Amino acid sequence: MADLVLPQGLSLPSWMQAGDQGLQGIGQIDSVLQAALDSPQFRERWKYTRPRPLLEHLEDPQQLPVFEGVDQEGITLTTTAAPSFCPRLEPQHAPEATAKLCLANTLIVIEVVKPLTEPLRIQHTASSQPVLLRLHPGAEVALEETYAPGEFLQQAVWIELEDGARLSHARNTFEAADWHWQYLYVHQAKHSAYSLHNYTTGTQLRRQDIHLVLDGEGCEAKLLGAARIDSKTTLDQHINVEHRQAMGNSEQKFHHVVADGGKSTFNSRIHIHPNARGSAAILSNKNLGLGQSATINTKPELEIYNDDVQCAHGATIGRLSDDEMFYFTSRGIASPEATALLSRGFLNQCIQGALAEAASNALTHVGITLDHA
Amino acid sequence: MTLLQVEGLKVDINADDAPMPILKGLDLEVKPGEVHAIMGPNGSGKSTLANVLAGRPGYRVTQGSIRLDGDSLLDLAPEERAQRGLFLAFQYPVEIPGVSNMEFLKASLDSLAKARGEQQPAAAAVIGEARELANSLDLDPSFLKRGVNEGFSGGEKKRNEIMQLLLLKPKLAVLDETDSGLDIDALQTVSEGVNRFRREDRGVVLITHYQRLLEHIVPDYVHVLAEGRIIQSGDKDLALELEAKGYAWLT
Repeated sequence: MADLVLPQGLSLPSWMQAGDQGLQGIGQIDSVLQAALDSPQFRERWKYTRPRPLLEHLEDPQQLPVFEGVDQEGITLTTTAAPSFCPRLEPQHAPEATAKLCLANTLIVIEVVKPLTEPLRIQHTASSQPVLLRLHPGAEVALEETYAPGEFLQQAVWIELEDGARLSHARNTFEAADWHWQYLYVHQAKHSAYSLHNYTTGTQLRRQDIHLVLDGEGCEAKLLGAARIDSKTTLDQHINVEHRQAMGNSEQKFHHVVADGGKSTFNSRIHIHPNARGSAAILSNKNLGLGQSATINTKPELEIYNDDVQCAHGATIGRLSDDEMFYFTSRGIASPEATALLSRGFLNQCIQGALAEAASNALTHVGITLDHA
Repeated sequence: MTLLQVEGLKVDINADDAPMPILKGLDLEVKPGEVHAIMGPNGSGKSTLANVLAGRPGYRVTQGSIRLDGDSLLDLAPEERAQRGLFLAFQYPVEIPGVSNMEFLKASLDSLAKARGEQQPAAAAVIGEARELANSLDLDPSFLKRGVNEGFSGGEKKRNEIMQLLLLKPKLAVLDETDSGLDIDALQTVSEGVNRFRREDRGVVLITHYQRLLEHIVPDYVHVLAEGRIIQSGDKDLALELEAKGYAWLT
């Protein structure tokens, strides 16, 4: 795909070469990233969404989000051109995200050194400067992210969880955008725990990349997601969960309602590396199609290189069950209300966590115009 | 005045793409205040009758009529039949995670009130009444917060059906094998619930396999349904006779 090009003059800032995880000795960054861009893996990741607009917008102006909870003891926030640490980077997996880091003049660095009582809130008001969040050993925090509407929006977040750190992450993405890219990378060290409650609607185009790496023994990761993609909107979600070390547990459960011309793409991959003995990984994506037309692409993937693991994955696409509809209508509830109630129930099965109430309201609002066909 | 009038009802289902007759000319008349038990061997059409009365999709009425309070039900959707006062207690109530029992009950009461031009009940009043009913049926009131029938035992599901019956207060209750899968204590509780529902302006059609239910809910009439028709009717003693002799002497 030689038609995909990165912005000219990319260079690797010195902070990205420093430390254990830096990209020292990787060679010319522009040629490394260009090779990744031209790879079959990249094309597969971007099969249903054209990546070119994103590459053209990587240098867009970026804003400082609004923060809450950064005045507590045990947390520091700095905006800097040269962060004091480099998160684990995966240029081959996500050349577009690595390029964004290389291009950033300012980065937001948040360090948490102990368990916090108040949540850390990030309200993205536009395209945001890249966020690097590090939880030091034993640190704990709840992270809540919300978003404002806009035209071309991009937010990229890198998270490092050091030994025994715990992060409970919730994000509600319900605002309209022409083209919205959310990139999330989480790198977990041993005995760390990460949970994500990911609730979203479709918009003209919303692309979510979630890359989790369980890179220490005994890591826990739990992803729950619910989405409503209707009124000709689009959601394209790509998830990659890598078990790189032993005895890790990961669980993914995503329920989507796709209706009235909506288009949903869900691609999640579980990758069990040779070292990851005793891993357990579960992945489920269920889709409910409503109305006259809906496009649903779902692809759960398993790639396993160790025999001593327990893995399960599944995906379903269906309509509301006739038995459920009859049960509700036989109690006097008219079809449109029964449809709304049942689809709400379907989404509610995946809605929990700090932003659950707002998520439930936004995803299951009354007035949903769904014809039970 | 007749509450439910079924005349010459013939019903097909689709089996292997060909119509298969299930009910072959069924007549039934229920007056206000009456309890009619319908018994019959497996495959005789008992559950079909219950489902057709409630308007379940998948059945084709080829002949005959069903009237509730004089109005034909045949062209009405299930919700419209419920709004006119018909209630079906399901043989197999479905589990619906994600919608709480309370939400479901409130939505149901609101829909019924709206269709009847009545004021929708206040949420607090509904919760209060539902709690009280749940207690009286040995259902842990915390079930109201749980998903509809989610994780319920067979007995809890049936008690939940009776809870709904008592909360929604229909004119006609059709109970489809409500006694199946119940232990002796639950059978007693459920029967007490149905007896509480009995009133001179309400009717009950009780579909059952077993005479023992009729020891608790004493019917005014017992009918034997076999091969799609009611072939014998009598009073409660007919049930005892069936229990003693089986169906063979009738069919």
